Amino acid sequence: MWRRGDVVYALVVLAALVAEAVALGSLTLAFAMKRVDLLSSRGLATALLGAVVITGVVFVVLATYTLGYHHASDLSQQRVSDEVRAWTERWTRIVLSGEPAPLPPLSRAAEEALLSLREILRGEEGDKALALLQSAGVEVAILKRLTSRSVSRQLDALEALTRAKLPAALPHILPLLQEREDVVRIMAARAASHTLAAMPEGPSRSAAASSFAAAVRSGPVAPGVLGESFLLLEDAAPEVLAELFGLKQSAPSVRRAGLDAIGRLGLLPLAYVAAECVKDKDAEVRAAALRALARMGRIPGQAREDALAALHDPVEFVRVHAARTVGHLPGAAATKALWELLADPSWFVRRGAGEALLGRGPEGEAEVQRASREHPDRYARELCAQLWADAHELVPS
Amino acid sequence: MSRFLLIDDDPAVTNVLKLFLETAGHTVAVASNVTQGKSAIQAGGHDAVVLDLNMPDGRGFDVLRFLREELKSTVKVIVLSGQKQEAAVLQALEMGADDFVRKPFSPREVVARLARLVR
Amino acid sequence: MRLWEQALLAYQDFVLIYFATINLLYAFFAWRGLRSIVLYARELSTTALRDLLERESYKPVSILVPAYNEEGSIVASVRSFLSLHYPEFEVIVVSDGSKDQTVQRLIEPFGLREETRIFRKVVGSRPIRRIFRSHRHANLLVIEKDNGGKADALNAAINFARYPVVCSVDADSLLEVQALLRASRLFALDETLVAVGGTIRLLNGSVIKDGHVSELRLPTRWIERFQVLEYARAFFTGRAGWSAAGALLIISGAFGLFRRDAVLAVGGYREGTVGEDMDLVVRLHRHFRDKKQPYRIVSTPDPICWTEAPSDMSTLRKQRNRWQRGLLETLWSHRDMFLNPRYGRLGYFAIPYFWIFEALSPVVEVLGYILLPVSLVLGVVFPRFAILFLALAVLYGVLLSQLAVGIETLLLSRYARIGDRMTLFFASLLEFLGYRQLLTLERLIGTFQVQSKSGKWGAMVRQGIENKPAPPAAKP
Repeated sequence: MWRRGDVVYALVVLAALVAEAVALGSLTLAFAMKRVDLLSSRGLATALLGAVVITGVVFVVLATYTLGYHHASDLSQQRVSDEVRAWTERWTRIVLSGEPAPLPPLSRAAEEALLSLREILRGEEGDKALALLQSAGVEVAILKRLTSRSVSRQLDALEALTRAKLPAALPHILPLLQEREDVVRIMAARAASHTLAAMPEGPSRSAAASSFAAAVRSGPVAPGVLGESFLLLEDAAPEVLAELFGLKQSAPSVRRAGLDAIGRLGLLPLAYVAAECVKDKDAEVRAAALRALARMGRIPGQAREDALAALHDPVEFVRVHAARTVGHLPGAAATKALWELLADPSWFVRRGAGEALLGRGPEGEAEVQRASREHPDRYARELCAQLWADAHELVPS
Repeated sequence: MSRFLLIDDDPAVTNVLKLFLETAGHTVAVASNVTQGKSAIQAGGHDAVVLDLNMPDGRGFDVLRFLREELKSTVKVIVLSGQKQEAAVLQALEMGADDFVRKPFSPREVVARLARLVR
Repeated sequence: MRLWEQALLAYQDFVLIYFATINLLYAFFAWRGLRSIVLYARELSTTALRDLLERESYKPVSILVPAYNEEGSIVASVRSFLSLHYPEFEVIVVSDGSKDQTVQRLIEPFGLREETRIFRKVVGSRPIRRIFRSHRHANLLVIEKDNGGKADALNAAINFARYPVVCSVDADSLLEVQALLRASRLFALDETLVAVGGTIRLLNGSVIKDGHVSELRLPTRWIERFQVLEYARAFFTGRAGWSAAGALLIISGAFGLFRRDAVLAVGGYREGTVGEDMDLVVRLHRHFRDKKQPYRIVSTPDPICWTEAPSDMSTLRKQRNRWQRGLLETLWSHRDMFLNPRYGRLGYFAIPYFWIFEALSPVVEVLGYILLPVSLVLGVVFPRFAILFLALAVLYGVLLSQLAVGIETLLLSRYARIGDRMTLFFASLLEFLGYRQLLTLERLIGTFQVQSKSGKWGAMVRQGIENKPAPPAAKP
């Protein structure tokens, strides 16, 4: 939770540090020269005095600035929030009653207030807010900031675009997914997703979805960021993801993030994608596909055999996710497979199997209770006793 | 004419709803966090509450629990939240919310739903 | 020129180079740190945090709270942890064979019930005596075990942790409500992230209500005020800079988040050292460098943990003595990393830095205090010279303090009163009049006690963090 003014402070500090570097550098040089008798004692003392004076001046400047900033930011904080509040009311009236909109250029407070309206409004009012962003010159101002050479200004612009969701900005945001600075890529991905999510269905969103898929395909954005970004796509997610899995060259990390999103967003029409990936050659992708199926709770016919087979995957975490997925399969065969998995060498897999059984309703619970007494494997018995106790003795708050 | 309480930390949300509701002739009180919200509810006198779920000092669920379990209040509650997961909607309704509206929202829709609840 | 004169002159040169290098490095860190704050403050916007909550793309966290004789603060801190603004987490308190009422104090307020429980012992620890679960808070677990030290308690807690991210917190600390949310966003975004260190600030002097710092005020004792400066320098400039340089070696035990599997991969915390927090971070670096896997260990400026600093000199000296020993123990046990090309910038830069400018600094400093008067008496150094050099050293120290305090003013929760700011100015000057020297001396003593006191913590006197009203005005 930071105040504005960090960039200015950074510049003040940079100036201070340069001055200090010069002071210390010349002092070191003076000492070296004194050692080889190129400088008199008096000269050295002067150099030392110079360093003291420079440091003193820098200190005074820094201290004055800090105090001044402290005071000014106290005052401006209240003023800015009052201004934003006044502008929010004004913009709301404009949206509500069609009062004439102010002409550009707008103050930052006015821009801020309009952005927060755009963020929260939907339907007719949301469209009006979007139109106001364009007509009052906010769109132009943000796009101009986006081309700035200063990273901090660029980031400010991306944050504004995340909230403004301006379709026209998308072509300017997508190239930033390839930027060198991590933070820029993260914020560009977020801005692009929010923008796509706010676009109405139609040919222009489809076109935007394929440009987005093409831009992230080769994995310029870290998988975690991409995962979040896909979730932010909301209604536009199926289009982007279908596009992405249609492309052959998508990196495994990208496919993994896509599968996670399919599961989390519950995109049943894309369940076939997850079903296909259960046999992927990348273990992480296999696990993600199984996880997605388990999350959706519905396993397409063609994936059932593969899911059961995945219970014997050589990779531990794939088996864990396979157990959870198989938990959603109906029938005695699935129950039996999970019972057998309770004896898996890995504790995580055993627990996954036990939890999957518990999730199968009364029949599965009875099976866990029976396993706690009768399972041939000692660890399986102990684990099931614990799971049974956890599920029944704990009264949640 | 009804009296509404808005509990949301985002001033834009409360401002917009306040203006829409007041234009329609209602009285509106605003609380900007969980603590304020709880004390406003305790003070009473509202026909319906609009409640956000994520606030800096806690979750709207706490307010809902406080309202229904501790105060045993039957005041109408609409949860207004950006929470995307189905589970959040279910939880809110199970805990006694009368309605759930997702952000971003259409203010006229919220006003209409509120009007229906207090009718 | 006589030999001892030459020796004195050589030492003088050495001190100058030492001084110039360390101060230039500080300046560099401050700059890098500030730059990362500028980027970080923008990336972690309100919108970003809201999206994290609304989309539930966070990772659940297990909070590990090792506690030894913490009856005074444990209830308040557990309450503060349970009220964190985070959707999915558990709190695991481990009483490490406390001799006081630490566990008993928790039973009533949290409705603890003893239960039997099997768990997977992944890392070894001393025997567990009793396990309690709260029937009011499904996410609170309290464990009582035989005494085995902080590292052992943390290892026991890790065995019970269910979530992919673990967060170690001291039992006498309070976390800011958004602390987990902010830190965990980093884990959600970057899969190579292994550990995150948060920023520690002092709660001495502040008003505490219901487990939260409700009003930030400067403490009344100078010894505490000096520590406010020390923490600001360490976290806002030092660690932020190391983190930006990709060579962070310390994550404070008072507040750090780790990927559970990574901690397990290095075998958990190392017992028998008082520097188990630094040791863990160094071993994580080694592990991933040895395996040539990409990883990141970072420090962030604003998931904030409030902690209580010692308010009396004797406790403070014990703490610094322990820190110094912990540092030396860790550096010594990883001495093969020194200038080892295998460890990249750690081997070439961070480890040597810690040897020369941290571990050995008390020796250099104390030697300076002894040799300066000697040089003056012998006429090797002119008085005017000595005075100017001392003035420069003090001014530079004051400047660095101000720089860190300046970063603090950028935070929303800062020391609000102008009077407090002025006091901090004076504190940065006054700390040179005895405070620094005393602690330097203590660290020097600690340096020679590494062998004799190995693994010993020394008793700590604490005030407790129950609801604390505003402190009375300073007594004359």
